[in-house]
Amino acid sequence: MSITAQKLNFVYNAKSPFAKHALKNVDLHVESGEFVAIVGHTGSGKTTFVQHLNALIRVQSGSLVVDNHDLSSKKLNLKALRGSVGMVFQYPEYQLFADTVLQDVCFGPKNFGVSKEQSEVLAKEALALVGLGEDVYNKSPFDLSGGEKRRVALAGVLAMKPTTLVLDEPTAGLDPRGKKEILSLVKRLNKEQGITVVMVSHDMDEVFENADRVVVFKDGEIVYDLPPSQLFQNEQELVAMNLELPQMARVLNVLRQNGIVLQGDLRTVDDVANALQNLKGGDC
Amino acid sequence: MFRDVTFGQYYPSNSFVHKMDARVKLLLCILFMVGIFFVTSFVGFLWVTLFLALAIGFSKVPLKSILKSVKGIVVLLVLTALLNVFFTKTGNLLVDWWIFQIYDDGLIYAGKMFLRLVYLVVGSSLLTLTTTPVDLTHGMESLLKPLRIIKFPAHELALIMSLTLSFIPSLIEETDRIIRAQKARGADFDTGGLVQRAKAFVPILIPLLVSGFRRAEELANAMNSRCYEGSTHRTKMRVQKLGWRDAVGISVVVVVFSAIFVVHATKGAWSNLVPWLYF
Repeated sequence: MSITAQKLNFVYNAKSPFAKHALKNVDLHVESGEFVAIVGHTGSGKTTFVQHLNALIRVQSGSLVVDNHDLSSKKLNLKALRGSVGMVFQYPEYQLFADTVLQDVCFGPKNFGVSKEQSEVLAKEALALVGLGEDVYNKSPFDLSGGEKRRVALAGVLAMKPTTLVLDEPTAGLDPRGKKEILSLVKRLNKEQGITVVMVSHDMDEVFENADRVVVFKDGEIVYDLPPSQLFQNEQELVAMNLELPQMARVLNVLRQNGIVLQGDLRTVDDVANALQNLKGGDC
Repeated sequence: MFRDVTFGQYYPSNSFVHKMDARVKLLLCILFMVGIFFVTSFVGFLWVTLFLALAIGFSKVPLKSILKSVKGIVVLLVLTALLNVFFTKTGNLLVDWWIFQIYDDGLIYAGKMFLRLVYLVVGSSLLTLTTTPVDLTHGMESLLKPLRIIKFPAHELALIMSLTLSFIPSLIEETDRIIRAQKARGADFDTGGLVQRAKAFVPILIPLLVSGFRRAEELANAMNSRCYEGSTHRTKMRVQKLGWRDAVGISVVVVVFSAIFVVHATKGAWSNLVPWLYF
């Protein structure tokens, strides 16, 4: 599902002493099946932007089209939109409420009019997708560990079978293993099921490894919209915006400064190590 | 949905009234509220109006924000006015229609009651508009201090109040977030019958309660781990000091309301001499 934003503007608390211009003339196009990461300093407008995507914040001015839904129109079919755009908030485990895990995951599909039996089927599928088995179905979500809670919350969104997934810092506060699990799941959904992914993140390493494109927000504006390999060559500009560089991008930059240019789309430690080895093999 | 709600409606500015001491403002506000009930004549209300206009002018708070708080009691205002109009049975009969009789005294009472209620709200909202909630609780704590002699826990009370106040914005934010998250999962809060709507709030209330307890526990742990101990000789970072502005404020209020009390006290004696003063 594609996303097209044109001249999107948003002001919080308009006409009051607290007015804040959170989005300024944002233009962005995301193709169906893309994996786009959104980065930026706190207060740069990235969360405001992603909340527009399923009409939790309504368009003030400009236009936004997600799939065939015109979000600036008053006659927008909210249910249909929210069924196809799955939104995973920061710390989604705080939205769990039901008595059992299964009931909680069923909440989404049921709201969209799916029968009880069918929604249980969907819920079980979603739980399997996030790697949780039958043993948790009847547990209270409050008895699970932090990482498990997060996965249950994610399953709660996936059970609605969204075609676009919007994630706001999905790995914040997780241990390295939990992070890896969530990210590989998102990546799998993107590659295997063709789900369009828009992910807000502070972790540049995970952005570098996973995203097809990185969009950088600063003070409500888009300042960069590039593939990660190109974006992170702008070292000084990014540091000036308080954005850290991914480890591998730093390695590649240092190598480049020393005259070693590696070819190909290199994202992980393994990629770079292999490329170096090949280079060495070729030279000797 | 809740983002526009600011608790305590504080209006940031750097005005004369804003800079006054919170304790003084609190006391003057109480004096004002008591005083307004001694105003019985329209001349008196004229004085109070002038006083309020002066105070609002010096507070630099736009009239619109003040009138917003009056909007909250419109129903009460209309109801009291109507009751006064229809149930006062003294004075000259003006209208006699079906079961309704309107006397001129009724209209006068209704008018005065209306003004009194509006001014009460305007006066008290002027306090909350020009004083931050934190200053307000510190002011209250300081004013209640003498009660420590009778073992009144003034500091603890102020602590509870300021903690409550500081929790409100974060709980509002949390509620807002949970509502958004559940809406994103297709939750519907606006349609259906009463029972269905009540049920729709379960997915909000439970996470909110859970997070409320979590926050409270975290806060208690944080305080404990820093050896927090009630009121034993704690000092304040921002010490409140009386200044010339407070002296001016007190003088103005005292002059205005002494006049009102004098007029009130001499009602019987002078009403023949200067009847217009008591109309």
